[in-house]
Amino acid sequence: MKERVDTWQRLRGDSPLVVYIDLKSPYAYLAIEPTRAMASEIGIPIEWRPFTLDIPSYLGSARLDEKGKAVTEKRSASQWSGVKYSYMDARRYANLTGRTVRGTIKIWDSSLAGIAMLWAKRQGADVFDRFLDEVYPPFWRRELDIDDIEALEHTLREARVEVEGFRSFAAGDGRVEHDRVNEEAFDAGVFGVPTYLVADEMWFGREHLPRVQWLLGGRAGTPPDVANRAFGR
Amino acid sequence: MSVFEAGNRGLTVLLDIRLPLAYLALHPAAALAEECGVEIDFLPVTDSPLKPPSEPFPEDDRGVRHRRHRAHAIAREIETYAAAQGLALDGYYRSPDPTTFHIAWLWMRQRRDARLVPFLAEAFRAYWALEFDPSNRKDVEGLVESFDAEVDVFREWSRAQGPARADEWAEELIERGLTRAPTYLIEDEVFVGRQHLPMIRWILEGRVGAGPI
Repeated sequence: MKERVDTWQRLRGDSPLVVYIDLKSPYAYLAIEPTRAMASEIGIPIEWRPFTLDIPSYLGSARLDEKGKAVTEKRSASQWSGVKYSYMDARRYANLTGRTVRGTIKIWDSSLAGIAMLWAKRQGADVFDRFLDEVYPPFWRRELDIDDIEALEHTLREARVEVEGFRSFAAGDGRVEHDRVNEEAFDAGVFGVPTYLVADEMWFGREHLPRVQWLLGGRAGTPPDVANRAFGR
Repeated sequence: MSVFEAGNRGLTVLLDIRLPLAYLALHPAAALAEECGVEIDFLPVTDSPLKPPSEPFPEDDRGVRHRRHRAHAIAREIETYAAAQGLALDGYYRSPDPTTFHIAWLWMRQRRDARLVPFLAEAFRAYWALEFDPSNRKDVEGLVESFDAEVDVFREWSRAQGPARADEWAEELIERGLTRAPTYLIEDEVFVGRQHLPMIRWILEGRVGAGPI
């Protein structure tokens, strides 16, 4: 266990809070606002990092038609049941804040979007935040094709991110950095998003935000239980 | 009549004694129902047993490593949040057949015995202290007897109607797609995991104000 804790601390570096996200995860989408609100409440910065989920490796794969019928699939009944519940669950929380979460019709390779996150991050935290706000909603409304670099460039521009040089970054250094960030995280035990690295702990899922807050606040008071709840209100 | 219809309570919670996260759900759910002044119903479900992290091998593919990471994370979660609740859990990965215990559970419940929650609390505590085997008839009858719940009547019922009742119940859950613990049922909504308690509270309190996110 100590070896693992040392690895997490090395991975976290000097940032008080590191959060791994992936555009194609509705749970990562839902985690952004409460994570920001929690961090803002205690006055700490967040270091966001992309973690591109390799969904077929653990949850099977499938492609659906527009009506949601499986065209090709390599999923068991229990995997389908879990996936359907997850989307239903994400949708009901999204509905509470007026956001749209439509089920995806294929398992996206979101690595290009992850590289775009790294690109935006290089231009500052505010720029990165704007990019997140621009890229998540249309993707989850099925209005953004993240396989299309032009569409991603358009989204970067909408977020007022400088795009000059993005294409060569995506084909070169950006891809290398993306793959390194992913492999380092996976080797350290990151397997899903959102994942939080905080103090000497690592947690998967926004339900751990109360504990993340408790850790960042110096472990004062009773340790909280898991909860999907609001912060900053 | 469906076991659900026989209940007709405010909040229904499905638990599996063999799952640590179900144990962590028991007391907070009972406390929430009491705070909100609603009836709570606990019912048994047979979930997949928890799997231990596999030993690493150089040829492990990403899926195997993913499942190992997840298994470690679940173990850390259990340890951390059990400590926060002041609970001690031993032997996360046991998987006895829970049917004998489920029969006793359904019996206590159909009698509308007010001791159902203390009965479950003691069963879960004893199971996680390695003092109770839910597949062992003597252990289960001993538990029923310790609650002074007419053990002779239970013994007869558990041999006659009990097994069929437990089978019907298990089939009903599968038909409804309810196979995980803890699962919360409220107003036609299904929630898996105790992280939903703020949402469940919000629903129980009439969905007043902003939702919990």
